[in-house]
Amino acid sequence: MAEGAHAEEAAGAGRGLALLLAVTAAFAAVIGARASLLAGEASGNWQQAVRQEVKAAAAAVEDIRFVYGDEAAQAFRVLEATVRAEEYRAAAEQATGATRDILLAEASAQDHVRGALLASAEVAQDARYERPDGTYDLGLRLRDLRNRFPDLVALRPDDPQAAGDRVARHAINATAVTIPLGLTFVFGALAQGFPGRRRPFLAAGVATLAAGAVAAAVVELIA
Amino acid sequence: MAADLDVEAISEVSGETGFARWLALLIGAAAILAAVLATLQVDAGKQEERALHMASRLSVRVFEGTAGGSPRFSFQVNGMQRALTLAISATAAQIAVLERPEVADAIQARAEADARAAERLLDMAVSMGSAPTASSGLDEATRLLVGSSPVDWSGVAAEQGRQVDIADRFAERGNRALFGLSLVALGGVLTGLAAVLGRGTPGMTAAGAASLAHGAAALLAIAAVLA
Repeated sequence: MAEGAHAEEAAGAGRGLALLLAVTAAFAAVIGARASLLAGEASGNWQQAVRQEVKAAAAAVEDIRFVYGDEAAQAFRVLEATVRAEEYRAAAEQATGATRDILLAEASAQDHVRGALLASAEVAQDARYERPDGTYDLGLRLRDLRNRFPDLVALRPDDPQAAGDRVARHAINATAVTIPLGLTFVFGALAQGFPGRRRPFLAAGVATLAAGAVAAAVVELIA
Repeated sequence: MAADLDVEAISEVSGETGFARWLALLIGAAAILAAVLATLQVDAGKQEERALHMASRLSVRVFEGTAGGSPRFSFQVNGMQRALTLAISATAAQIAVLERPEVADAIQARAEADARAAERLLDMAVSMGSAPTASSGLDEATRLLVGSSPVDWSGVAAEQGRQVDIADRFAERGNRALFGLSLVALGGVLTGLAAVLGRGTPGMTAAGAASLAHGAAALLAIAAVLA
Protein backbone atom coordinates (compact mmCIF):
# COMPACT_ATOMS: atom_id res chain seq x y z
CA MET A 1 0.00 0.00 0.00
CA ALA A 2 2.79 2.38 0.98
CA GLU A 3 4.58 1.64 -2.29
CA GLY A 4 1.40 2.46 -4.26
CA ALA A 5 0.90 5.75 -2.42
CA HIS A 6 4.53 6.62 -2.98
CA ALA A 7 4.25 5.90 -6.72
CA GLU A 8 1.00 7.89 -6.90
CA GLU A 9 2.64 10.87 -5.20
CA ALA A 10 5.68 10.65 -7.45
CA ALA A 11 3.49 10.55 -10.56
CA GLY A 12 1.53 13.60 -9.31
CA ALA A 13 4.69 15.55 -8.62
CA GLY A 14 6.01 14.57 -12.05
CA ARG A 15 2.85 15.91 -13.72
CA GLY A 16 3.13 19.09 -11.65
CA LEU A 17 6.74 19.52 -12.70
CA ALA A 18 5.91 18.97 -16.37
CA LEU A 19 3.07 21.48 -16.15
CA LEU A 20 5.30 24.03 -14.39
CA LEU A 21 8.02 23.75 -17.02
CA ALA A 22 5.53 23.86 -19.90
CA VAL A 23 3.86 26.99 -18.53
CA THR A 24 7.26 28.59 -17.91
CA ALA A 25 8.44 27.78 -21.43
CA ALA A 26 5.27 29.22 -22.96
CA PHE A 27 5.54 32.33 -20.78
CA ALA A 28 9.21 32.79 -21.72
CA ALA A 29 8.31 32.48 -25.40
CA VAL A 30 5.63 35.16 -25.06
CA ILE A 31 8.04 37.44 -23.18
CA GLY A 32 10.73 36.86 -25.80
CA ALA A 33 8.36 37.67 -28.65
CA ARG A 34 7.16 40.82 -26.85
CA ALA A 35 10.74 41.97 -26.19
CA SER A 36 11.67 41.33 -29.80
CA LEU A 37 8.74 43.42 -31.08
CA LEU A 38 9.59 46.23 -28.67
CA ALA A 39 13.25 46.15 -29.70
CA GLY A 40 12.19 46.48 -33.33
CA GLU A 41 9.90 49.39 -32.46
CA ALA A 42 12.76 51.14 -30.64
CA SER A 43 14.98 50.76 -33.72
CA GLY A 44 12.23 52.20 -35.89
CA ASN A 45 11.88 55.24 -33.64
CA TRP A 46 15.62 55.86 -33.59
CA GLN A 47 15.82 55.59 -37.37
CA GLN A 48 12.94 58.03 -37.59
CA ALA A 49 14.92 60.46 -35.41
CA VAL A 50 17.90 60.25 -37.79
CA ARG A 51 15.61 60.75 -40.81
CA GLN A 52 14.04 63.80 -39.21
CA GLU A 53 17.43 65.19 -38.23
CA VAL A 54 18.65 64.94 -41.83
CA LYS A 55 15.42 66.38 -43.23
CA ALA A 56 15.30 69.30 -40.80
CA ALA A 57 18.99 70.08 -41.27
CA ALA A 58 18.82 69.96 -45.06
CA ALA A 59 15.78 72.26 -45.12
CA ALA A 60 17.28 74.76 -42.67
CA VAL A 61 20.68 74.84 -44.36
CA GLU A 62 19.13 75.33 -47.80
CA ASP A 63 16.88 78.19 -46.58
CA ILE A 64 19.79 79.88 -44.83
CA ARG A 65 22.01 79.48 -47.87
CA PHE A 66 19.33 80.94 -50.13
CA VAL A 67 18.68 83.97 -47.91
CA TYR A 68 22.27 84.85 -47.00
CA GLY A 69 24.03 83.45 -50.05
CA ASP A 70 21.69 84.66 -52.80
CA GLU A 71 19.05 87.10 -51.66
CA ALA A 72 21.06 89.07 -49.11
CA ALA A 73 23.97 89.52 -51.51
CA GLN A 74 21.64 90.93 -54.17
CA ALA A 75 19.89 93.15 -51.61
CA PHE A 76 23.25 94.49 -50.49
CA ARG A 77 24.16 95.38 -54.08
CA VAL A 78 20.90 97.35 -54.28
CA LEU A 79 21.85 99.07 -51.02
CA GLU A 80 25.28 99.91 -52.37
CA ALA A 81 23.83 101.57 -55.44
CA THR A 82 21.30 103.45 -53.29
CA VAL A 83 23.87 104.71 -50.81
CA ARG A 84 26.32 105.76 -53.50
CA ALA A 85 23.59 107.63 -55.39
CA GLU A 86 22.60 109.40 -52.16
CA GLU A 87 26.17 110.39 -51.39
CA TYR A 88 26.82 111.64 -54.96
CA ARG A 89 23.69 113.80 -54.78
CA ALA A 90 24.66 115.11 -51.36
CA ALA A 91 28.11 115.97 -52.76
CA ALA A 92 26.56 117.58 -55.88
CA GLU A 93 24.62 119.99 -53.66
CA GLN A 94 27.95 121.33 -52.36
CA ALA A 95 29.54 121.48 -55.85
CA THR A 96 29.24 123.68 -58.89
CA GLY A 97 29.89 123.50 -62.62
CA ALA A 98 31.34 120.40 -64.20
CA THR A 99 31.97 118.73 -60.82
CA ARG A 100 28.28 119.03 -59.95
CA ASP A 101 27.27 117.62 -63.35
CA ILE A 102 29.65 114.68 -63.00
CA LEU A 103 28.35 113.87 -59.52
CA LEU A 104 24.72 114.05 -60.69
CA ALA A 105 25.58 111.83 -63.64
CA GLU A 106 27.21 109.33 -61.25
CA ALA A 107 24.11 109.45 -59.05
CA SER A 108 21.89 108.85 -62.05
CA ALA A 109 24.07 105.92 -63.11
CA GLN A 110 23.74 104.38 -59.65
CA ASP A 111 19.96 104.88 -59.86
CA HIS A 112 19.98 102.84 -63.06
CA VAL A 113 22.11 100.17 -61.42
CA ARG A 114 19.68 100.07 -58.49
CA GLY A 115 16.69 99.82 -60.85
CA ALA A 116 18.27 96.96 -62.77
CA LEU A 117 19.18 95.04 -59.64
CA LEU A 118 15.88 95.65 -57.88
CA ALA A 119 13.98 93.48 -60.36
CA SER A 120 15.83 90.42 -59.08
CA ALA A 121 16.05 91.44 -55.40
CA GLU A 122 12.90 90.19 -53.72
CA VAL A 123 14.03 91.30 -50.26
CA ALA A 124 14.69 94.86 -51.43
CA GLN A 125 11.31 95.04 -53.19
CA ASP A 126 9.26 94.23 -50.10
CA ALA A 127 8.76 97.16 -47.71
CA ARG A 128 8.13 94.75 -44.83
CA TYR A 129 11.82 93.90 -44.77
CA GLU A 130 13.02 97.51 -44.56
CA ARG A 131 14.56 98.51 -41.25
CA PRO A 132 14.88 102.00 -39.78
CA ASP A 133 18.65 102.03 -40.44
CA GLY A 134 18.01 101.54 -44.16
CA THR A 135 19.06 97.89 -44.20
CA TYR A 136 16.88 94.81 -44.65
CA ASP A 137 15.63 92.43 -41.98
CA LEU A 138 17.11 89.12 -43.12
CA GLY A 139 15.86 87.31 -40.01
CA LEU A 140 12.30 88.21 -40.96
CA ARG A 141 12.94 87.15 -44.54
CA LEU A 142 14.33 83.82 -43.34
CA ARG A 143 11.31 83.35 -41.10
CA ASP A 144 8.95 83.91 -44.04
CA LEU A 145 10.91 81.50 -46.18
CA ARG A 146 10.99 78.84 -43.49
CA ASN A 147 7.29 79.17 -42.78
CA ARG A 148 6.41 78.24 -46.35
CA PHE A 149 6.93 74.67 -45.16
CA PRO A 150 5.83 74.64 -41.51
CA ASP A 151 6.03 70.84 -41.37
CA LEU A 152 9.78 71.06 -41.82
CA VAL A 153 10.12 73.75 -39.15
CA ALA A 154 8.01 71.67 -36.76
CA LEU A 155 10.29 68.60 -37.04
CA ARG A 156 11.55 67.56 -33.61
CA PRO A 157 13.97 64.62 -33.94
CA ASP A 158 14.31 64.49 -30.15
CA ASP A 159 10.70 63.27 -29.89
CA PRO A 160 11.13 59.97 -31.80
CA GLN A 161 14.52 59.62 -30.11
CA ALA A 162 12.88 59.83 -26.68
CA ALA A 163 10.17 57.40 -27.78
CA GLY A 164 12.87 54.99 -28.98
CA ASP A 165 14.72 55.28 -25.67
CA ARG A 166 11.53 54.53 -23.77
CA VAL A 167 10.61 51.49 -25.88
CA ALA A 168 14.19 50.17 -25.75
CA ARG A 169 14.13 50.32 -21.95
CA HIS A 170 10.83 48.46 -22.08
CA ALA A 171 12.36 45.78 -24.32
CA ILE A 172 15.39 45.35 -22.06
CA ASN A 173 13.22 45.13 -18.94
CA ALA A 174 10.95 42.62 -20.64
CA THR A 175 13.96 40.48 -21.54
CA ALA A 176 15.16 40.67 -17.93
CA VAL A 177 11.87 39.04 -16.87
CA THR A 178 13.24 35.83 -18.37
CA ILE A 179 15.80 35.69 -15.53
CA PRO A 180 13.24 34.61 -12.86
CA LEU A 181 11.80 32.27 -15.48
CA GLY A 182 15.29 30.83 -15.89
CA LEU A 183 15.31 30.24 -12.13
CA THR A 184 12.03 28.34 -12.53
CA PHE A 185 13.83 26.01 -14.93
CA VAL A 186 16.68 25.69 -12.44
CA PHE A 187 14.27 24.63 -9.68
CA GLY A 188 12.44 22.34 -12.09
CA ALA A 189 15.70 20.65 -13.00
CA LEU A 190 16.63 20.36 -9.31
CA ALA A 191 13.19 18.87 -8.56
CA GLN A 192 13.88 16.26 -11.19
CA GLY A 193 17.43 15.63 -10.06
CA PHE A 194 16.63 15.51 -6.34
CA PRO A 195 13.36 13.56 -6.05
CA GLY A 196 13.64 13.55 -2.27
CA ARG A 197 13.30 17.35 -2.20
CA ARG A 198 10.94 17.62 -5.13
CA ARG A 199 8.18 19.44 -3.27
CA PRO A 200 10.27 22.37 -1.97
CA PHE A 201 11.96 22.74 -5.35
CA LEU A 202 8.59 22.69 -7.08
CA ALA A 203 7.30 25.32 -4.65
CA ALA A 204 10.37 27.47 -5.35
CA GLY A 205 9.77 27.01 -9.07
CA VAL A 206 6.16 28.13 -8.74
CA ALA A 207 7.30 31.10 -6.66
CA THR A 208 9.86 32.23 -9.27
CA LEU A 209 7.28 31.76 -12.03
CA ALA A 210 4.88 33.95 -10.05
CA ALA A 211 7.68 36.47 -9.50
CA GLY A 212 8.29 36.49 -13.25
CA ALA A 213 4.60 37.10 -13.90
CA VAL A 214 4.55 39.98 -11.41
CA ALA A 215 7.74 41.40 -12.92
CA ALA A 216 6.23 41.19 -16.40
CA ALA A 217 3.12 43.00 -15.20
CA VAL A 218 5.23 45.71 -13.52
CA VAL A 219 7.33 46.12 -16.68
CA GLU A 220 4.18 46.60 -18.75
CA LEU A 221 2.66 49.03 -16.27
CA ILE A 222 5.70 51.31 -15.91
CA ALA A 223 6.39 51.36 -19.66
CA MET B 1 7.88 -12.34 -0.30
CA ALA B 2 6.76 -8.77 -0.43
CA ALA B 3 9.46 -6.13 -0.21
CA ASP B 4 9.45 -2.32 -0.52
CA LEU B 5 12.03 -1.57 -3.16
CA ASP B 6 13.64 1.85 -2.82
CA VAL B 7 14.43 2.52 -6.47
CA GLU B 8 16.23 5.76 -5.63
CA ALA B 9 18.48 4.02 -3.13
CA ILE B 10 19.36 1.38 -5.68
CA SER B 11 20.07 4.06 -8.24
CA GLU B 12 22.21 5.92 -5.71
CA VAL B 13 24.25 2.82 -5.13
CA SER B 14 24.66 2.33 -8.83
CA GLY B 15 25.66 6.00 -9.22
CA GLU B 16 22.87 6.77 -11.67
CA THR B 17 21.15 9.31 -9.41
CA GLY B 18 24.35 11.30 -9.03
CA PHE B 19 24.77 11.41 -12.79
CA ALA B 20 21.12 12.44 -13.26
CA ARG B 21 21.54 15.20 -10.68
CA TRP B 22 24.61 16.43 -12.50
CA LEU B 23 22.64 16.58 -15.73
CA ALA B 24 19.75 18.31 -13.95
CA LEU B 25 22.12 20.95 -12.59
CA LEU B 26 23.58 21.44 -16.07
CA ILE B 27 20.09 21.99 -17.53
CA GLY B 28 19.24 24.45 -14.77
CA ALA B 29 22.53 26.29 -15.26
CA ALA B 30 21.87 26.49 -19.00
CA ALA B 31 18.44 28.00 -18.38
CA ILE B 32 19.63 30.71 -16.02
CA LEU B 33 22.77 31.46 -18.04
CA ALA B 34 20.73 31.76 -21.21
CA ALA B 35 18.33 34.20 -19.53
CA VAL B 36 21.13 36.34 -18.10
CA LEU B 37 23.20 36.34 -21.29
CA ALA B 38 20.16 37.09 -23.46
CA THR B 39 19.32 40.07 -21.26
CA LEU B 40 22.91 41.30 -21.44
CA GLN B 41 22.96 40.83 -25.19
CA VAL B 42 19.68 42.69 -25.75
CA ASP B 43 20.80 45.51 -23.45
CA ALA B 44 24.19 45.80 -25.16
CA GLY B 45 22.63 45.58 -28.61
CA LYS B 46 20.14 48.35 -27.94
CA GLN B 47 22.71 50.58 -26.23
CA GLU B 48 25.10 50.12 -29.13
CA GLU B 49 22.37 50.83 -31.65
CA ARG B 50 21.26 53.93 -29.76
CA ALA B 51 24.81 55.26 -29.56
CA LEU B 52 25.31 54.71 -33.30
CA HIS B 53 22.07 56.51 -34.08
CA MET B 54 23.07 59.37 -31.80
CA ALA B 55 26.48 59.52 -33.48
CA SER B 56 24.72 59.73 -36.87
CA ARG B 57 22.43 62.49 -35.64
CA LEU B 58 25.32 64.43 -34.16
CA SER B 59 27.31 64.09 -37.41
CA VAL B 60 24.36 65.67 -39.19
CA ARG B 61 24.26 68.43 -36.56
CA VAL B 62 27.95 69.23 -36.97
CA PHE B 63 27.43 69.50 -40.73
CA GLU B 64 24.25 71.52 -40.20
CA GLY B 65 26.01 73.85 -37.78
CA THR B 66 28.98 74.55 -40.01
CA ALA B 67 26.90 74.79 -43.19
CA GLY B 68 24.11 76.78 -41.52
CA GLY B 69 26.28 79.31 -39.71
CA SER B 70 28.74 80.11 -42.48
CA PRO B 71 26.44 81.83 -45.08
CA ARG B 72 25.57 84.64 -42.66
CA PHE B 73 29.21 85.09 -41.72
CA SER B 74 30.30 84.95 -45.38
CA PHE B 75 27.66 87.51 -46.32
CA GLN B 76 28.82 89.85 -43.58
CA VAL B 77 32.48 89.51 -44.56
CA ASN B 78 31.72 89.91 -48.29
CA GLY B 79 29.64 93.03 -47.58
CA MET B 80 32.41 94.51 -45.49
CA GLN B 81 34.94 93.67 -48.23
CA ARG B 82 32.79 95.43 -50.82
CA ALA B 83 32.58 98.50 -48.59
CA LEU B 84 36.34 98.45 -47.95
CA THR B 85 37.04 98.01 -51.65
CA LEU B 86 34.99 101.15 -52.30
CA ALA B 87 36.89 103.00 -49.59
CA ILE B 88 40.23 101.86 -51.00
CA SER B 89 39.14 102.95 -54.51
CA ALA B 90 38.24 106.37 -53.12
CA THR B 91 41.61 106.73 -51.43
CA ALA B 92 43.43 105.50 -54.54
CA ALA B 93 41.52 108.02 -56.67
CA GLN B 94 42.46 110.83 -54.29
CA ILE B 95 46.11 109.86 -54.61
CA ALA B 96 45.98 109.40 -58.36
CA VAL B 97 44.33 112.74 -58.95
CA LEU B 98 47.31 114.60 -57.46
CA GLU B 99 49.01 114.20 -60.86
CA ARG B 100 45.89 115.38 -62.75
CA PRO B 101 44.98 118.81 -61.31
CA GLU B 102 42.66 119.57 -64.25
CA VAL B 103 40.10 116.95 -63.02
CA ALA B 104 40.99 117.16 -59.35
CA ASP B 105 37.78 118.81 -58.15
CA ALA B 106 35.43 116.27 -59.72
CA ILE B 107 37.50 113.20 -58.79
CA GLN B 108 38.09 114.51 -55.27
CA ALA B 109 34.38 115.18 -54.73
CA ARG B 110 33.48 111.75 -56.08
CA ALA B 111 36.11 110.05 -53.92
CA GLU B 112 34.88 111.80 -50.80
CA ALA B 113 31.32 110.70 -51.61
CA ASP B 114 32.55 107.14 -52.13
CA ALA B 115 34.42 107.23 -48.81
CA ARG B 116 31.25 108.31 -46.98
CA ALA B 117 29.24 105.67 -48.83
CA ALA B 118 31.83 103.03 -47.89
CA GLU B 119 31.56 103.99 -44.25
CA ARG B 120 27.78 103.67 -44.32
CA LEU B 121 27.95 100.39 -46.24
CA LEU B 122 30.39 98.97 -43.73
CA ASP B 123 27.88 99.61 -40.93
CA MET B 124 25.09 98.18 -43.07
CA ALA B 125 27.03 94.98 -43.78
CA VAL B 126 27.64 94.51 -40.07
CA SER B 127 23.99 95.24 -39.28
CA MET B 128 22.51 92.94 -41.95
CA GLY B 129 25.01 90.20 -41.22
CA SER B 130 24.33 90.15 -37.49
CA ALA B 131 22.59 87.08 -36.08
CA PRO B 132 18.79 87.46 -36.13
CA THR B 133 17.21 88.31 -32.79
CA ALA B 134 14.10 86.78 -31.24
CA SER B 135 12.10 89.79 -32.42
CA SER B 136 12.50 88.56 -36.02
CA GLY B 137 10.01 85.82 -35.22
CA LEU B 138 12.38 83.20 -36.57
CA ASP B 139 12.07 79.81 -34.83
CA GLU B 140 14.65 79.30 -32.12
CA ALA B 141 16.42 76.33 -33.73
CA THR B 142 17.04 78.20 -36.99
CA ARG B 143 17.97 81.38 -35.11
CA LEU B 144 20.62 79.54 -33.07
CA LEU B 145 21.86 77.82 -36.21
CA VAL B 146 22.25 81.06 -38.17
CA GLY B 147 23.96 82.72 -35.24
CA SER B 148 26.44 79.92 -34.59
CA SER B 149 30.08 79.69 -35.57
CA PRO B 150 32.15 76.53 -36.20
CA VAL B 151 33.69 76.88 -32.73
CA ASP B 152 30.22 76.47 -31.20
CA TRP B 153 30.01 72.97 -32.69
CA SER B 154 33.28 71.62 -31.34
CA GLY B 155 31.43 70.31 -28.27
CA VAL B 156 28.95 68.49 -30.49
CA ALA B 157 31.80 66.97 -32.49
CA ALA B 158 33.38 65.76 -29.24
CA GLU B 159 30.07 64.27 -28.12
CA GLN B 160 29.76 62.53 -31.50
CA GLY B 161 33.13 60.87 -30.90
CA ARG B 162 32.04 59.88 -27.40
CA GLN B 163 28.92 58.21 -28.76
CA VAL B 164 31.04 56.18 -31.19
CA ASP B 165 33.20 55.06 -28.24
CA ILE B 166 30.06 54.07 -26.32
CA ALA B 167 28.89 52.05 -29.32
CA ASP B 168 32.27 50.29 -29.47
CA ARG B 169 32.11 49.43 -25.77
CA PHE B 170 28.61 47.99 -25.99
CA ALA B 171 29.50 46.13 -29.17
CA GLU B 172 32.24 44.39 -27.20
CA ARG B 173 29.78 43.60 -24.42
CA GLY B 174 27.29 42.24 -26.94
CA ASN B 175 29.95 40.08 -28.60
CA ARG B 176 30.92 38.54 -25.28
CA ALA B 177 27.28 37.88 -24.38
CA LEU B 178 26.66 36.32 -27.78
CA PHE B 179 29.73 34.11 -27.44
CA GLY B 180 28.46 33.09 -24.00
CA LEU B 181 25.06 32.21 -25.47
CA SER B 182 26.77 30.07 -28.09
CA LEU B 183 28.61 28.21 -25.35
CA VAL B 184 25.34 27.72 -23.44
CA ALA B 185 23.80 26.22 -26.57
CA LEU B 186 26.83 23.97 -26.97
CA GLY B 187 26.58 22.99 -23.30
CA GLY B 188 22.89 22.19 -23.75
CA VAL B 189 23.63 19.90 -26.69
CA LEU B 190 26.41 18.17 -24.76
CA THR B 191 24.08 17.72 -21.78
CA GLY B 192 21.50 16.08 -24.04
CA LEU B 193 24.23 13.90 -25.51
CA ALA B 194 25.36 12.88 -22.02
CA ALA B 195 21.77 11.95 -21.13
CA VAL B 196 21.56 9.74 -24.21
CA LEU B 197 24.97 8.12 -23.68
CA GLY B 198 24.30 7.41 -20.02
CA ARG B 199 26.66 7.00 -17.12
CA GLY B 200 29.61 5.59 -19.03
CA THR B 201 32.88 7.18 -19.99
CA PRO B 202 31.44 8.86 -23.12
CA GLY B 203 28.47 10.21 -21.14
CA MET B 204 30.67 11.46 -18.33
CA THR B 205 32.98 13.08 -20.87
CA ALA B 206 30.06 14.83 -22.55
CA ALA B 207 28.72 16.01 -19.19
CA GLY B 208 32.20 17.24 -18.24
CA ALA B 209 32.51 19.15 -21.49
CA ALA B 210 29.02 20.63 -20.92
CA SER B 211 30.11 21.76 -17.46
CA LEU B 212 33.17 23.44 -18.94
CA ALA B 213 31.04 25.15 -21.59
CA HIS B 214 28.63 26.46 -18.96
CA GLY B 215 31.53 27.59 -16.77
CA ALA B 216 33.06 29.47 -19.69
CA ALA B 217 29.65 30.99 -20.48
CA ALA B 218 29.36 32.18 -16.88
CA LEU B 219 32.81 33.77 -17.12
CA LEU B 220 31.79 35.45 -20.37
CA ALA B 221 28.67 36.81 -18.67
CA ILE B 222 30.91 38.40 -16.02
CA ALA B 223 33.29 39.65 -18.71
CA ALA B 224 30.35 41.14 -20.60
CA VAL B 225 29.22 43.06 -17.54
CA LEU B 226 32.76 44.36 -17.02
CA ALA B 227 33.21 45.40 -20.66
